[in-house]
Amino acid sequence: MIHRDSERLIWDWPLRLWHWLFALCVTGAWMTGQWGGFDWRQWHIWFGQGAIGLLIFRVIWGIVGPRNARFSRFLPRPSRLFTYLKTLPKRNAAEYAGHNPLGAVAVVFILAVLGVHATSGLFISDDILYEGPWYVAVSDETADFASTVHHRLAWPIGILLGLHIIAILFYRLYKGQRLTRAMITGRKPADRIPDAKSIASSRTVLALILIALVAALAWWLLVVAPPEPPAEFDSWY
Amino acid sequence: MGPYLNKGLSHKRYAGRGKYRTNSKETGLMNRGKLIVLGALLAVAGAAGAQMSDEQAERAVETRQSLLQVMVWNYGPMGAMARGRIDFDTDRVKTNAERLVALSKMMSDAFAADTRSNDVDTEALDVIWEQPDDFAAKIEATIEASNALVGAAATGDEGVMTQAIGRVGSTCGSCHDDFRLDD
Repeated sequence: MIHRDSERLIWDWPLRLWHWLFALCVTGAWMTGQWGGFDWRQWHIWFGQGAIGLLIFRVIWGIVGPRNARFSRFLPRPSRLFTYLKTLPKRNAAEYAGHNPLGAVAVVFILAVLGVHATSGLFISDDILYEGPWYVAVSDETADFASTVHHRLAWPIGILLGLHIIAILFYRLYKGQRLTRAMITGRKPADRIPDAKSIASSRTVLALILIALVAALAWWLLVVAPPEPPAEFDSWY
Repeated sequence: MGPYLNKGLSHKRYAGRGKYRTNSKETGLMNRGKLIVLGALLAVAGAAGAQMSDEQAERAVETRQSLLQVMVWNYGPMGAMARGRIDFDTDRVKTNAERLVALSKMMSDAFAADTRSNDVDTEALDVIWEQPDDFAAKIEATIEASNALVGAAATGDEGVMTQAIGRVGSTCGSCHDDFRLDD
């Protein structure tokens, strides 16, 4: 922030806040899911439901947010992706302002997989005490299918998160690009990024309205709308 | 019932082997006797290797799934109380906790039938029979936690019961983590 003139704003604050909250939810959900067992299952559910709310925000922000947050701006055509892949081994290849073509594909892939994974969790039960809010609304077959999806995706997602961190390290150590720093401060050095690629503002007002709306929507989707679990004794047959 | 039936069968074959051996000595028909002994031995080995028929195994699976279902039937209402979905009913907790003690004591027998080599639809993992001591320890934990829940019900304190209900669930989950197929 001291060298404000020598840096350009790339990532808006809603996107940065989103990224770190999402990282917290996904890491927390993954760790409590893999190692927490029954005692951490309530936390697992909270983390997972938090991730769902955040995903809804990210999808909408990818349409109405500033340019570097927009899917239409960062999703590459296959030819551009291919061209980028050829420059990947070059240490001094030009730094992208927002997502590079490969990173863009990775981001969308990660969001999609985590979206499927988190959603599947809404329909399953641990057959003991906890269940997703929509478990009671679906047939046993659907719940079984969701359970299969949820459990089989757990390790692939762990690998995906590992690859994400390895990629960040690769850019830091091999290419000298400080991507983590940019995701914290929102800024990249002016000598690397042309002014035309920076963003003018974080669209704060729009972001605040959207956050309130998405929070309400997520609350409705996860708490209000799901049918009450039946509490009669015949519901345990 | 499955495993006991099987054991009975093996014992019968074993007795038969002894009989044939004596016979062969008496008659002096060594070649024929040896063949019969060999045949009997193979039959014994076959019986031991095949464990039980798939039909028996299916019944064994049905039995243990039924046992777990009855445990859920008893635990479910208490879980709902612990989560505040239905009102606490101390008598119900006492009754159901006592049943859980009895039911969890049936677990080791219910899982005695080794269905690893059978073609059955089950979520029971092989590790149940590969590490019987670990499995027994999990069962013991459930028995202990259920006993503690009976004690908690005696206090009539909702906070104490909630804690104890959670601890029973925790022993269920801990066993599922290691011994039940996830999907």
